[in-house]
Order: sequence, then structure tokens, then C-alpha cells
Amino acid sequence: MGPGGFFLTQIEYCSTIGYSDIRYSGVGGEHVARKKLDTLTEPMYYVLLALTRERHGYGVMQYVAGLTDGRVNIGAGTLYALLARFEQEGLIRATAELESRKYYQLTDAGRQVLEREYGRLRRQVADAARVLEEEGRK
Amino acid sequence: MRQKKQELCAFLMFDYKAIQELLNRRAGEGWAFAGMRLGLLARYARCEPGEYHYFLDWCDPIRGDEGYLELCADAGWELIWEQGYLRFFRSRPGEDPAPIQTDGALEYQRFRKKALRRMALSGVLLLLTALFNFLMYLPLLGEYDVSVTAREVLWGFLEHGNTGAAVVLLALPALVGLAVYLVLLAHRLLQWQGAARRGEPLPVPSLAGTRARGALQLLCWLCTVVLFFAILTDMAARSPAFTLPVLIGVTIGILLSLAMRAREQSEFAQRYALRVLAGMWACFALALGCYFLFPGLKGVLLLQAPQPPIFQAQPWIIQEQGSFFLSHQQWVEGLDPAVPAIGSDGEAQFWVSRCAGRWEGLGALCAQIVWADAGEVHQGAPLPTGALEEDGVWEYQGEATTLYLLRRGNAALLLSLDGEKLLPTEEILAAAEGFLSRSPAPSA
Repeated sequence: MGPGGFFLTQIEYCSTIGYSDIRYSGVGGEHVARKKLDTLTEPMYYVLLALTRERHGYGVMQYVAGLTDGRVNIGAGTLYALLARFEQEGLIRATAELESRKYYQLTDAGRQVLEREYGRLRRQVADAARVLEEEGRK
Repeated sequence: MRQKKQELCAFLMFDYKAIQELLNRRAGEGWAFAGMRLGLLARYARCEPGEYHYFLDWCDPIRGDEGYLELCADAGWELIWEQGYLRFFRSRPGEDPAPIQTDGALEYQRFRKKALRRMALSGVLLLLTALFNFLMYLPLLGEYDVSVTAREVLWGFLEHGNTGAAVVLLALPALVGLAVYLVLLAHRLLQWQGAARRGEPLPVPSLAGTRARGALQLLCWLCTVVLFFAILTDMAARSPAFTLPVLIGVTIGILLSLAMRAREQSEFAQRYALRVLAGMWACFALALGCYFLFPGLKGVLLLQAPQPPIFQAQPWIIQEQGSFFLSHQQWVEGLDPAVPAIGSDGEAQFWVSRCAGRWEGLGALCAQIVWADAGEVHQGAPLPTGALEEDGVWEYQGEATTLYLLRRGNAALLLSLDGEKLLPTEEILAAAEGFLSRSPAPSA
């Protein structure tokens, strides 16, 4: 059982816009409407992480590749679409433009989304650690 | 060793993944893609095997993306070609950057946003234009009493509006091609939607299937050439007062678009737009310089006889039209100044039909056209033997009307004499021969 007396019944990930269609079934079978951008795809997560500091598009690509040792490589076209989407959703804002390069940074709303995702991932890791430890003892 | 080569590369846009794979394969073999010619031939130049990598991406050639090309360039991809809704990117020598699109679903979204909507809009506009031209041309077909046959459509193409006639000729293959294209596109869209849902990269079609489907692009290219040729010949036949305002309007529209969207559009899109403009004006200048086969009939008389007062020394022009290929006129002259040229029963004193072609090879067709003009007189009698093959004069005696068909080189003349002949036949025929000799000489 998860928090608030609900348990998770179904999760569908959509890589396009990075939301999860999470349906919670309450004790009485109630459904809670899902929210957009509750969970993020890996590229989206790292882009928001990179924009905790002001960066331009290519800077974000370089930072993410460096941070993940090349494991996560975001294409220029994919990044362009994500930045446009985040800006439209109010998660990032353009801060400057120099030599045809736009600089972005997280907004407060974007920081909240990032921190919520960080918390979710930590809980996931903690749950997995507990389960694997129990299995290991057996 | 050859340093350059070309190969046929006709493909439908939604098969771009197969072409991307082909370009990368060629680069691995030591041939670097350098551009397209006429949208059908891929040009290659020698390079070190594996020196370059290629990526094809969707774009909106009119609206563009601000900052997109700069971001791609930073990431190691330079734009080397643009064709329609596709951009061809190449990596820097020796580099292998991450693909421009690393998310299949976002790539599909980009196609929908950049290309699909504009393709749909262009398709609708094209269909409406074709329908408009067809409806404009339809009344002209009614001039012929017989049902529309291939022969009548051909005459219409040569004699009336070439553009409308070309649309009629191309309508069936174009519609079939469009239907096949839409089915193939729908199939591809379903595949992409499935891949996007599963979070997978967009599928790569087989090269063999891509080449087979590319036949549709060849068909489209052929139809475009025929239509363009028809438009050019119409421009040659029409007054500049008709074509010039359209050209000026299109020029202003294109230049305004270029000025307003300069930051978003690629250099390829801008150059392409300017080339289209230059091509249009060059065609217009060429059309103006063409020799017109449309001699005006004002003041022209075959018999040079004094005319009834109603004519005032000019013929009564029933029909006067021409195109790049043919000119065709019908008129009435009077033989007796005291007698109305057209009787109360509608019969003319002296009726003439003349048709002249640009080349001598059109002389036989001209004879058929003028013979068809007198259908009411000969009641569908066949064209006199020999008129299709050689110059000469033929006489046909109707109930009350005598027809004389003269053919000379690229021109044919048909005279209809009703009632009493006020002039000796020899004099009439001599005048007709003299008139024909003043027709434009056939081209070499």
C-alpha cells in the first residue's frame, strides 16, 4: 500500500511527453485524475538537472554526456523539442541570447518538478535496496 | 579513379530513413553525398570510407526553426542539402556525433508539426487548383458536338487552354497516384505511431521497397514537366496583361516571405525560392520572345472585295484563338455590298475557316480542324482523301453550299460559298492561295 491508503494499480509511460498515466485505486475503488509531468523520462530528467545552472542548448548536451559518462546522449533535435516544451510548460525560462544561442535556466516550478522526481527515484532505489537485501539474506 | 558519380534516388519522403541508411552506406564505401539534382539524382564525391555520417531530419521550408541549425552545428551536424520537407545533415570529417533525433516519439511529432500539416495544405491547394482549371476548361469542350474523345482533348490542348487541357490529360494518372500515395502514407504513419507508443526508434524501410515506391515520385516529376510545359506555352500565346499581374503578385509574396522569415529559413530554402522566382521570370521573358501564330484579323480580307456597310471593310470575326502550337480563326466576308453578309436564315455569303500550325507536321491536323468547322454543311462526311498527306485544293458540293478546302504546308483554309457565286471560282481560289501564302512560314 502506498501513502494515503491507495495502491498502485497501473503505470504506463509515454516517452513522448514524459508523463505517467498512474491510476490509483482507493479502498472504495475511487480513481484519481493523473497529472502531466509527474514522472520524467531519463533525457527530460537530465535536461532539467543540467538547467539548475544557466546553460545554452549545446552546453546542456555536453553536461549530460559528461555527467553520465556518455550513457545518456541527447540529440540536438530532441533537445530542441524538449527545451521548447519545458519553456511552454513554464519549467524553464530563457535568460539570455548570445550569438544565436539561447540560454535557459530552471524556474521555481521546474525546480519543484525536478525535486519531486528526485524524491520518487530515491524511494524507488530504497525500495529496491530493501527487497534485494531481504532476498540476499534468504 | 572516378571522383564523382550520380545515381537515381527517387523516393517518397516518408521513406527517408531508408535513404539515410543508403547515404551512410555509401559514405562507408567512400562516397560522400553532395546533393541532389532535379530531386531525382543523388550526387556523390570521393571521400575516405567512414569519414562522414548522415542524418535526415524534417523541416518546414517556409517557417523554419530559430536557433535549430545553430544547435545542430554545435552538436557536430552541418546542413548540406535541403529538399522539400527534408534536411540532409552531415557530420564533420572524422566525427560520429549523436544522432539529431534520439527519441522516436519526438521525431514523429516533429514530422507531424513541420511536414504533415503543410503537405496536407499543399495537397488541398493543388487539388483545388486542378479542379478550378478543369472547370474552366470544361465549357470549351462543349464547342464540339461530339462526345469528348481523346482527339477532342488533344485539339483542345493544341488550340485552347493548354494548362487546362494538360490538367484534363493528367487527371487520371494523378488521381491514381495520389490514392496510392495516401494509402502508403497512412501505412507508414501507423508504423510510426506504433513505434512512438512503444518508445522505439522509427523503423527503417527496406531499400528495395523504397526504390519501388520511388516510381511514384518519377510519375509526379513527369506530370510536373508536362504541366510546366503547358503553362509556358499558354504564356507564349496569352497577352502579357494576363500573365504579368500574376507574376508580380507571386514575386511580391515570395520576397515578403523571405524578408519576414530570414532568421528562421535556411540558406537552401532562400536560394531555392530565389531560383524559382528567377525561373518564372525567365520563362515569361522567353514566352514574350516567342513567335506568335496569332495574326490579328482586323482589316484582313481574303477577297479584298467591298464590304456591306455593316462590316465597314472589316470581316465579321466568329472565332479567333491561338496557342503556342496553333492559330484558328473563322470569319465572314461579304461578296455584294448591297446584300447582308449573313442572311435571315443565318447562312453567310462567304465564310472562311483558317488554321495554321507552328510546324509543317501540323498541317494535316489543321485540315481536320477546318473540316470539322463545316460539319453542318458536309454532315460528317469524311475529309477528302489526300488532304491529310499533301498540299492541294479539294471541292465538296453540298445541297446549297460549296466547300473548298485548301491545304498548303502548315496551314489549311476552308471556304464556304452559299448561293450564287458572284465571283468566278478561279478568282476566289487565287485569292485564297494568296492569303495562305501570307500565313507564317513553317519553322525549320
